Amino acid sequence: MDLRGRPGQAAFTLLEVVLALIVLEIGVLGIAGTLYLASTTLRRAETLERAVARAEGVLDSLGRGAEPGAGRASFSAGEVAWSVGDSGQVEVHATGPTGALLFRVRSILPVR
Amino acid sequence: MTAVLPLAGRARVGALRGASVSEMVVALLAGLLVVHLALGTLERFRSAQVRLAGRTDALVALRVSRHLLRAELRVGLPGRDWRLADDSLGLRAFRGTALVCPTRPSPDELLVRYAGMRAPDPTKDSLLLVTGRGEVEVRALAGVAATADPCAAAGPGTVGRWRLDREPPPGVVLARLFERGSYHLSGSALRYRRGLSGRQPLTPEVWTLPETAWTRTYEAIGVRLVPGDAGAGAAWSGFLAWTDRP
Repeated sequence: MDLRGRPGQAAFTLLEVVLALIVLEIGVLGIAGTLYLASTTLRRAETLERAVARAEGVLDSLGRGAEPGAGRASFSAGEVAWSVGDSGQVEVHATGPTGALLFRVRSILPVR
Repeated sequence: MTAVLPLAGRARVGALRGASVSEMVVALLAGLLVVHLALGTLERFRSAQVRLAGRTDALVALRVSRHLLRAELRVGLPGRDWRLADDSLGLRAFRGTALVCPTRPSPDELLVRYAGMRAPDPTKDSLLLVTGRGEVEVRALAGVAATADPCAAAGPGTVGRWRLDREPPPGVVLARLFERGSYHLSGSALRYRRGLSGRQPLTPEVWTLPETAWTRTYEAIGVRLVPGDAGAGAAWSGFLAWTDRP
């Protein structure tokens, strides 16, 4: 086996090899970036789903309470806080693990 | 006469130059390293994709389970329309409402204007008939037929003739259509058994049993859903419905 080659024999230069590796690296980084983006989006969807579920539970509880008031409750990926106005208006907002606002909902409690 | 040597022969004429053993070892090691890194990267990509797909399935199953069960239980009365047994949630699921037209095609038939989630199915549905005085009676739906007869009851929906198992009470004005079925947490999925048919999966098969189960407190029922390979942090426990409707 002759790895060094001989004069006149075609071969890749070092520059060509380096360029090929760079192109390959760009492809690998692209795939990794796509996976990272998908994972981040999915994590946000999971957090949002849990927050919505928690907020629904809170609104269900408020609708049942004789004298509903303000409060807060945590869930696995954040916190849900709510306040109740005099006329039965309720506002619920959820924050994620970093404290960023996920959503804010205003509703009216059913008349009891 | 000049002899022309073949190419291979000419190559052997000069001094044969090959790689040294150390160069070969270095080249082989470098090649192995590149292959190892490439295979490792591919394996990481593959496992990352599998994890993403699993988490997506778990999220879909969670969303479907939560929305479906809450929607079903919200319109029913606990104890009368739905009941939680050991491993199943049996219910009489509301599917639609029919306004009863004043004209009566025959003694055991009603002319109705129906609007609902799906078309009525005589093999699985029953009716809760409400009279003008507020009395209710249950009848089985024995047959359904489309008709072009005019209906004086105004409202959305399509007009049809519903045959009952026996004569309806006098003065019936409204018919609520119910489907008998039961929800089960079995086979790693939420399943629905409609009538006497088999249990059909409604979600991907992602739940771990028996950790995934119905939960019951003094005044409410809920469900704890634990995805199989997503870790304990992905478990979700949630409220579904009150068992003592105020």
